[in-house]
Amino acid sequence: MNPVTLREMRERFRTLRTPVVMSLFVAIFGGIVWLSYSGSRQASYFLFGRAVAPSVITESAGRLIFRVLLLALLTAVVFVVPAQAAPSIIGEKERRTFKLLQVSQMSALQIVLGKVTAAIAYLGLLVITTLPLFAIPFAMGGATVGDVVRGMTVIAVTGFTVATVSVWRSSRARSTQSAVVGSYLLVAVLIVGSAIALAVEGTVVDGPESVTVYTGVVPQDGGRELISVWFNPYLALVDSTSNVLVFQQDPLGGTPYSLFERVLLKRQGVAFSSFGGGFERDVFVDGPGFGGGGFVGGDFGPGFNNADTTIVRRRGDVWVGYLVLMLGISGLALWATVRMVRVPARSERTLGKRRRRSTNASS
Amino acid sequence: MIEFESVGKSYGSLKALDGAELRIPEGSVYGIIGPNGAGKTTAMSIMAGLLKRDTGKVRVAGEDPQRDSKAVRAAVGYMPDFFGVYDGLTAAEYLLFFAATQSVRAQARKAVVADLLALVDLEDKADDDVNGLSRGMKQRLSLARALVHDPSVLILDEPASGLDPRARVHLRELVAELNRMGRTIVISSHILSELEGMCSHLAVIDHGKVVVEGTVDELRNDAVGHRTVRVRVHETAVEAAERWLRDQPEVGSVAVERDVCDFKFAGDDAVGAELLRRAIGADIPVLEWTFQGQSLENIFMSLTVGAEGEQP
Repeated sequence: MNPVTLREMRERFRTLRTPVVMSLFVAIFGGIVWLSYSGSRQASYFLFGRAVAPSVITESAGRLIFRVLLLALLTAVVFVVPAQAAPSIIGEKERRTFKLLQVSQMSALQIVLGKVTAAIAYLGLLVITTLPLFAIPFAMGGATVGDVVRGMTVIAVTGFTVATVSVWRSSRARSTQSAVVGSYLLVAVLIVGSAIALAVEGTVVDGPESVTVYTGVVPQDGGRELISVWFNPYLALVDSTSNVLVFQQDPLGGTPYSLFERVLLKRQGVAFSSFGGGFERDVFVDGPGFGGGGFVGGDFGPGFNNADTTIVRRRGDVWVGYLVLMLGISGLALWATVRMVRVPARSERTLGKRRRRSTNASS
Repeated sequence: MIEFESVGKSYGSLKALDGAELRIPEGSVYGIIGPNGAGKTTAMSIMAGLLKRDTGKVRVAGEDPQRDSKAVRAAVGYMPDFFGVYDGLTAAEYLLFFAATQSVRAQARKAVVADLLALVDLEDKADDDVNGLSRGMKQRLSLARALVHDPSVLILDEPASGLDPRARVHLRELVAELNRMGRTIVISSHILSELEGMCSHLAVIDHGKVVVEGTVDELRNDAVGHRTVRVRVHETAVEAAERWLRDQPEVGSVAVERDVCDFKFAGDDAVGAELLRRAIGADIPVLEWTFQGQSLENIFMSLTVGAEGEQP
């Protein structure tokens, strides 16, 4: 095992903070599951006596729990990893141990990978502690093994990318504080920036004339690719664990995925119409909170029913593209960090010496 | 063992090394002295494979640190002028970690660490938190860290800095012991008397240039171009001896105190012997004639310009 990773893990797990954080993490995720489950139960009361099979309700509840868990886990990744990874290199410089690593037999790549691994290993352990919670939606039928694997892959790659970018930022920073702030800014650019870009792109590039109103036939237009979707981890996660073009009964109503699914549908040439009840991907349920009518069933616009709900797919998987992009960014970040860590170095700064105010103090 | 040939290194407009020339023989304890900003740490960083030079050639243990940095790092144990510490590690764990980074075989690490702790006399501190060690102990632990991969060259940057007298003596003994074990040791210090007692060779470096280098004896005798001779004469002939000395072309300044005349002269032993022969021939009643070696302090002050640019 990489000695840098081993030492960091040892240092981290010797403090009281780690078991406290782990307990809190599990408690928060347990709370999320409990709230989701309770909400599902409450909602299911309204379906009493309606033509909905109990298994469908259970599956819908499981799906809701699974999706909430995944989104919470991804959010934890983007919040926890920068805090772990950003101090890595600059922390060594501040402790004055960086040169000691540089003169060792470890290559620059080994040092950097050790730092990245240490940052994500901590999170990995936190994720492992939450894995039993994923058994609940799995048992309820709300998620398949494939869903779990794909979702976890997107989260893992996101964590790896955030870690590599944060370690790169750390290698260029002058203080731990600036490294942490810089890393969070980069994560914000990835998430918020891509969301803003998506909004702009959706308006400017993919203008109103290109939005196809779904009318029950294969969209004529086919939609337009939205480049920004490839950069957003939340869209990638949603895309990896839900096929927006395949009908799924959700008698309990929409999940937190709904917001993201609209974007994913749009790029396939499907849009929400403003007439005739409009395009409704989920089961339209008549009941409190669902509009009136007492009807339960699939509605994909005029002429569609439950048996005919698959729309022709026009665009590739966002999550696959996202993984490729993120791994590319990670590779670039690793390369740039290795250049900063490698010796012999061109400057003293790379070796961890702070910029001197007086040249007399040099050497 | 280590050679610097016209080595230059600049940080922006500041020339840290300006055509530095060094020849460090195998098995020597080589001291590098110089004022702040002279280029000592830069030279040592280049030797250790940490910094790139701008110009010139460098060979360390037969390798160019810029071309084969890994080989040089394997041959060199580097102890910087500070002690880097990880929180929560014991002295033994600290060394075990660096043994792992130096690719010491996993099975051998514990034994290596135990041996090194014994060598630096920290066996009883093996399980103590590194942060709790005294400065002297930390220096010794740092030295043990530099030795963890059994390097043939040790580069020690200001190792005696901030140590109390007892710790300095301990360090000096350790350096001597390591040298006896066959290691080439390069050591920089501002504590000139420490280097004097520790080193077989010395280099004075100033403004990025090696002003002078050689064995300690060579430096004492030749470095500043003149030697001091102390002559004790019969008390009745002090004035005559002073007059005679001032008339000799080889003799520089003459200082007289009671029956002793200290004078400086340019030249080697033969010139000194010739002077003595002439003094006796001139009926100067010489009772004692002693060549005085220069103290390193004097050599250092004579050859270097202070950090503020003032000639001492």
